[in-house]
Amino acid sequence: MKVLTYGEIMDGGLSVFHSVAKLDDHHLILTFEGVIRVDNPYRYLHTYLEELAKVLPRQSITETTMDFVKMRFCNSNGFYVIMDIVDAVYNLVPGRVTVRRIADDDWQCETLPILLNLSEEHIAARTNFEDVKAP
Amino acid sequence: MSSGGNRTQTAVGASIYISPLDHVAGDVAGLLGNFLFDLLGMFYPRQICSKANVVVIELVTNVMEHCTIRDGAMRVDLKIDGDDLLITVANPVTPAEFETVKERFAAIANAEDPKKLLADTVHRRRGDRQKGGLGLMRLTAESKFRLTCEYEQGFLVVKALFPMRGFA
Repeated sequence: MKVLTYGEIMDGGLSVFHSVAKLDDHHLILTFEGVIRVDNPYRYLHTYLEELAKVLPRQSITETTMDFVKMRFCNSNGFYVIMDIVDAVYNLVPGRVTVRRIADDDWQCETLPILLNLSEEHIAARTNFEDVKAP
Repeated sequence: MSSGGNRTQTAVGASIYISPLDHVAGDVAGLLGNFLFDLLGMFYPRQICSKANVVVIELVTNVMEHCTIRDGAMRVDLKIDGDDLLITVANPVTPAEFETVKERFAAIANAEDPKKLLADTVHRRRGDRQKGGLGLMRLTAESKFRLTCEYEQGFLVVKALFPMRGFA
């Protein structure tokens, strides 16, 4: 497993959110952990977005897993930055995308599909969900 | 610890008052939301606790980001009894500000499909990353709250009600 890049949000001196892009052979794994509640998450994650745009096209990737199971909360301040991260995957990486999420979590079951832009047919066709129990 | 009775019928109330708002220096929305999540976790399923967490964080964040009367107070009330979850958040506003908020609430309340309203708004505003009501929209589309707002003695009073009968 090779770490390609990662991004982190600090609040009050603590790490409150991090996302890591890892490569396992030809399998891209993007993890999302923690909470996004800060008023301007781009302040912390713009470098991560730039890195994703640089490193993802250079890899040989056949499938992707985006894992939201440990992302406990995202307030509306975080919607656009999540959209930008997942867009980087859909636009820069080919292949199937599996989205891991918590089965009975409102934000992951109702709002996350909107942020993934599943209303676009070509995105929906590449995407499937793996629903898991809350950790 | 008692093991008798139905814990999901437990009545819980909390009232928190902060004045002046200007003295808030940290993530008060997160602190209150997480406190209520943990407190309700003693009695109610995770999904109900998450709804309380989301609504408190979104409504208190709205107050902290948009309230212009910074020497005024914010009040947060929670009431849950097995039938309903009710969160009330109040802060001072001018009459003109209340009219703007009222229009926004009306647009959300009148939406035939709250989820479509949220999706259309997110995608339309993405270019300039405007928020303007996304938090309120997600409370109806995602968490299925009924939202109302009233003007009472110079305060905007927002109520978020989730009927729990048959849920918990």
